[in-house]
Amino acid sequence: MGDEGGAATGEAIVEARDLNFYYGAKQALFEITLAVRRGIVTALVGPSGCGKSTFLRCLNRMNDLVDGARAVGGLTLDGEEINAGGRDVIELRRRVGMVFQKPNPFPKSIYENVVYGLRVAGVRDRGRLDAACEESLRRAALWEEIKDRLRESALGLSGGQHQRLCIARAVAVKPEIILMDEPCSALDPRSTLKIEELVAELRGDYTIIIVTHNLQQAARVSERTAFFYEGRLVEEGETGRLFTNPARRETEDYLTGRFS
Amino acid sequence: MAGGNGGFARDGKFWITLFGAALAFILLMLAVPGYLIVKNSLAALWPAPLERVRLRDGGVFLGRRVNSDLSPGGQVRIQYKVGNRELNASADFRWVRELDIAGIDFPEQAVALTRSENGDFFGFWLEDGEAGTGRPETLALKLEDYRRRREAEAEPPRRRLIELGERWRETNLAILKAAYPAESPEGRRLAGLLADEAEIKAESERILGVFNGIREDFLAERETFAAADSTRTLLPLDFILEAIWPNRLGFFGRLAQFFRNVRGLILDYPRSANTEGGLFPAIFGTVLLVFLMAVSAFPLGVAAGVYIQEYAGNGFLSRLARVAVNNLAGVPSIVYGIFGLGFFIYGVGGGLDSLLYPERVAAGINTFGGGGMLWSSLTLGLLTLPVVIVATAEALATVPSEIRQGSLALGATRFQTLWRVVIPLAAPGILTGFILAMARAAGEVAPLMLTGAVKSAHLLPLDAEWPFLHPERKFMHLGFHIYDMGFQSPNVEASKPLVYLTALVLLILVFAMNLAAICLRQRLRNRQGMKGL
Amino acid sequence: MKKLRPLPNFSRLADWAAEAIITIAGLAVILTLAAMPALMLKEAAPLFLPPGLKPLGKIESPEKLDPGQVAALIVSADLSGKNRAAGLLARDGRLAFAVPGEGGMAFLPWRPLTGSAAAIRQAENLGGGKFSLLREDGVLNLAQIDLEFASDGKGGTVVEPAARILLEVEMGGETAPPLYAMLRGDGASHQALAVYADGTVREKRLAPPRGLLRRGGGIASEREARIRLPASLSAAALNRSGDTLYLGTGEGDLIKVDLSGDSDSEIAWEAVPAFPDRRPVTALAFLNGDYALAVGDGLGGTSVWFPRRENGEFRLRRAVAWPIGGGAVEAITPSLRDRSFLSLRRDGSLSWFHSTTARELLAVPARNPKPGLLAVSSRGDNLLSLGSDGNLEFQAMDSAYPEAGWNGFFRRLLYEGYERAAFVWQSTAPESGEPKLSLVPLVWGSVKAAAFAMLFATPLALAAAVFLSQFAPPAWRACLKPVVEMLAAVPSVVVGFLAALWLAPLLESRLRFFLGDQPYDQRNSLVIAVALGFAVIPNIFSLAEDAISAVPNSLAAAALALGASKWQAVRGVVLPAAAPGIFTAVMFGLGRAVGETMIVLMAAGNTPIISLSPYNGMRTLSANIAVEMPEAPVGGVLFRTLFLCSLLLFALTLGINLTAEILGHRLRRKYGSP
Repeated sequence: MGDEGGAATGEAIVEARDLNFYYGAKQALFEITLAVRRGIVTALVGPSGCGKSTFLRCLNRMNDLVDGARAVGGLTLDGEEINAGGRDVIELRRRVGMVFQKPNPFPKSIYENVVYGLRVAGVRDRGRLDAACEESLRRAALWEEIKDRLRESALGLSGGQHQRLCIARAVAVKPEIILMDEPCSALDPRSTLKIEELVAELRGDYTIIIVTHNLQQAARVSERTAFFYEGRLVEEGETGRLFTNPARRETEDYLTGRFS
Repeated sequence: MAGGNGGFARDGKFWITLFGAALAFILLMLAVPGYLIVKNSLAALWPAPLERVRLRDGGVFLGRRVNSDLSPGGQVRIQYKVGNRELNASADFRWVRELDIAGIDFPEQAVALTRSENGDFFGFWLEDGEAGTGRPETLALKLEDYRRRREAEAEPPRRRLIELGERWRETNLAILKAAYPAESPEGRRLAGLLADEAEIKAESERILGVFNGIREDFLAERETFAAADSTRTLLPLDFILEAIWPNRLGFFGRLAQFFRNVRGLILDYPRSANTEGGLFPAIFGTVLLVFLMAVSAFPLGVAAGVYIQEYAGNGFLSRLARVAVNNLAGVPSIVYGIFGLGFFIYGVGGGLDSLLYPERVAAGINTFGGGGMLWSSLTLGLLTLPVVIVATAEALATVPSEIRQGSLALGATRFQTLWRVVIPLAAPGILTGFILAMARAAGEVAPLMLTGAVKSAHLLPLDAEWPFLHPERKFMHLGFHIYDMGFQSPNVEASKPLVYLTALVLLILVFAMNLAAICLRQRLRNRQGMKGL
Repeated sequence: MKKLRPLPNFSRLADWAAEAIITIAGLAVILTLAAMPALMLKEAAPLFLPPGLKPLGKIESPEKLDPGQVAALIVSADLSGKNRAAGLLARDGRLAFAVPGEGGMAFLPWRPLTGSAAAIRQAENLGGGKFSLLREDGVLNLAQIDLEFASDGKGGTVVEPAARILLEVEMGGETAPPLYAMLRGDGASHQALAVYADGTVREKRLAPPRGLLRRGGGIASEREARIRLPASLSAAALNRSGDTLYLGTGEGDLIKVDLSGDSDSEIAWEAVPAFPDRRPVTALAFLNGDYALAVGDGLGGTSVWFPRRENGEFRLRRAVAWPIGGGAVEAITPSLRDRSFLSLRRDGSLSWFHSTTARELLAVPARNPKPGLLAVSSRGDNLLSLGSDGNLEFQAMDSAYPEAGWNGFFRRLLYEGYERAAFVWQSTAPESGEPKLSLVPLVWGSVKAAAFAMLFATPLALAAAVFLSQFAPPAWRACLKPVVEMLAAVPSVVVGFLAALWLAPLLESRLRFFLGDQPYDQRNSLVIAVALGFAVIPNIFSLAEDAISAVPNSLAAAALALGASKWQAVRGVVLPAAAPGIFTAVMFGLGRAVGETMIVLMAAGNTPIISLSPYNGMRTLSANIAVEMPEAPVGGVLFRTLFLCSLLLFALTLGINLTAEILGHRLRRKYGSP
């Protein structure tokens, strides 16, 4: 349920109203009502299979790739219905970027990876692409490390660098929202730290929604947290308060490790 | 391995050794054809010395040693190529038992003639028809001079006759067209064409007369040669294509002749009912066929593979399509051949003929309704389609889905994702599968027997004559050549060396394609792995 | 930073266009591939269609002649089969013609046939418009009665009948005119034969006529024989070439008279009691091909007889018989195109029989009016009958490949001249030879070739796969596996020619020593085993090796940890786990072996025989297609049969591959590794 007050406030940029989601006959999300606020980091937590990733993927309609996936209910971005019939999915995905659990750089050069989103959007001006590349890599704290290696294959980077590259790639398109689906679960602790630092920096210019099963990470990086359980939104609120003083029984059980 | 109680049986050493022997045997089986083909091919190309063999019973002959083995009785026999078909009752080769040989020598004056008719001749050149064999340089000069004169005098009318022949053919076809359908001839135009025809005929006859006269004169220029047993014969210079004195050649001389022979093999046309000569039209036909087949199969196969893997979804129909395509790869090639015959040749070809050339159909002439390069390449293309489709689909399937998702999440359309990310990743697999399919199809003969390969075609399907590509023409093919020479030829023994050579050329072609596939795959993998685009 | 523009229309258009093109291309390809079996089915299906007789209409005859008054019917059709004409030759020598005209068929006025005034006793259609006529006064006429179709210049057809007598020969006997007499011959020389009631058979050979001889001209030679008749004569038939005469008696005997040999040789004859119940022979006719004899008897039964080899001699024997019924057989009308014939019985019922496949193609029950006289057009597409009501009726005949069908392809049949029923494929029979289209030798050939090849290849390939996968040093695998796979790259035509030109003679020379005089073909199943095996080994090896190597190491490791030796681990754990993959590999190899064409074409001798001996060759379905197709006339029975062979091959290989996949799946689920 919603919660007002607390340290981080902003207008709602994404709003779900009684959102139900089905994979074929199986229902994965039940009556989700949630408002995500602009410019802050919101964490989605919950045990495996609780629907947090599913919800995340509703926001940029990546669930469309699955046969039989269907959303029923209200889900808006800036007030416009995401699932409306005539909605331009390509446009949506430009405004809502995504970073995946397993870093997935393309087998191209670093430069080409970063500017990929711009190229498919039709940008050809070399100057613009170069500038965007540098800016995105800087924002991803990767520029200094690889500025001399832009033409080399992206596959030659380390695991942590891969994920930062993916973030740079997502940022290059100037989305409003960045979705992150367990971005650190495949990384070692040092790289994880770097990614978390990055998230902290990107906040403000971007709205970030991060799915994580690591409660400490959620506590570290997010301003607000939503707890999902078995397809339902159990509780949502300011991170600090939720962790120290959960309103619901299930939340408390999860936080204390009764189930995971 | 632990020994001890029941050690041998437990270790299974016997079986392991046996299995290892099986592997060795298989490798040996691979070596045997390679060895045979290379050995026989080299023997056919390497200018071996001419041996004069005197037999105990007084006979004598000149020959080139070709083979030796043990006769059923356990004695060593040697096979010689003796040539001189017209003197030896059409037997080019002969076997002699080693015991029957009284002596062998290598006369320096022995000459080997390559002829345009009747194959090779081994003997001695009698300058001025008398004993005292002549000097090689003299004969060489005579031949050169002869050819120069022939080129100057006989070539022009010959070429004009060929031109007239072409015009005659075209005019006849035009007449057919103008006179069809039977009830309504186009009066004036027909009259004009008939006049053309008469004119061509008249000129042809005139030139033919002139040409025949010239030719007779040239053919009368003959030289005397004698076989080893002193039988004399007069051979027209016109028939002599090449004269070499093998016993005078040193190693480098032989090497030079060897390379000349290789060059002849690749660039010459066949002679003497495919028992001598070169393989140019067959090589050309095979390469052109593979090229046309590739051009038709690649885009369609890749498109269908992309369709099945990326666009078709998972409904019943598309699963059925997948199963169907998978299994069609195992259908025998002759079935594709018969389909090509029924569908392309009689169906589409017959339809095209009825539409475009009804007058020819009425006269019983097939243009597209008979076998030809076009239908053969389409049939073979069809043969390779299932393999290309499956290779494409599988290569696409190996692309990780998160790469696809990554691209889509950045706002790319499906096609952009395919074009920019997925297909480049799958390219090595697609290309490799494609080239391997082509290599396999290059060796297929069965469908070609039904769709347009012939034992002898004097026109190439691609030449300097408009419209340059003649897809309706029949063509020669290396694989079909092997079958035809080895089994339909009246003189199989004489064709044998050329069969081995053809097999060698075909194998080189096929293995080159296989190698190209592997190299290409390696290169593409390297490019993606190490460097950027 | 500027915000991105919305996606330009171009890219969206490209996306849509790409999807459209790819979908169309993909569907087109798949449909074309699916068209393959459809096309083959379309070409092969007519082989199994039943024959038909379709009534086309009656022609009212202005003068209703009873069939007894008519000597012969003449029927003719044009190339398209759609325009027909009919003629009636009455016994009194008059001719009537019905030709197409405005508004249907019209009868032309009667005209006389020139020649002797005596009534016509017998008329025989010799084909090509020629008729052999025996008059009551013993004169034999050769008549030419033509019904030629011509274009009338306005898109229609017109028929100009023409009739004249070409030849006259006196055959009258001392006491009475002959019972039966026939003329044979081409334009140059003729042969006249007469059979008299007392058993005398008289043959006259005529010298080539100069101009138009009218009466008995130029008799070159004559011979005669006196046959001791076991009973009175009731039927006679002379073959086309005039060298064999069959006579039937009223007590069921068949007499074969041998007229071959020149004018100085004796006429030999032989009588055979055909029916144990001594029922009369009522009709005799030679079937197309001039060898087999169709016999109709007094109880309505029909049978086919021809000389068969028995103990080194040829004796007349019955080949096939159909049931009695319907009253005596009145006439037998053979087809001029194939081995079928019509048998007309007294009650008016008609049977259309085919001798080779021993079937009744069609049974037409008796009806009113009864057909009394029949004639078949030369192309076998039209049947004309004269009813008891004096009217003519046309029927369209469609024999639809009678030598094909289940019987023709798969049953053991007794072919003309053969000692016993057999499965025979012999498509290249001479012009009037009996087509023998049994597919059994071909299927047997495919099976035998594949079996020999698999016997050779499977143990070798599997053994090598096990060795390379489990017992050889790993470095070997990377190096040797591609080498063995290179075997697959060798074109089969090269393998075939090496097998035929090198291996086969080598094997023969080595084996001759051991075999002595045993029958031995140079190109035989042993050669095929090695050659076809060579082609199949890399396929089996590759798939099997993949399957064995795919078994997780943990399985073998577990066995080893329990104290098993490597060999025991492999034999007991790894191989069973890999069994589904191995099975699939073998099955795919089998599929390849069945479909291979060039190797069997070149190295198997190509004789379609059924034999278990490894010392002779075979002809497979695939090689058969390659060899026969270039010469097969389009649309003919051989052409369609080859499409059927192709369909069989397609189904066979598809079946093998599908079985491999499905069973492989099932086995994998049952026994596969976790």
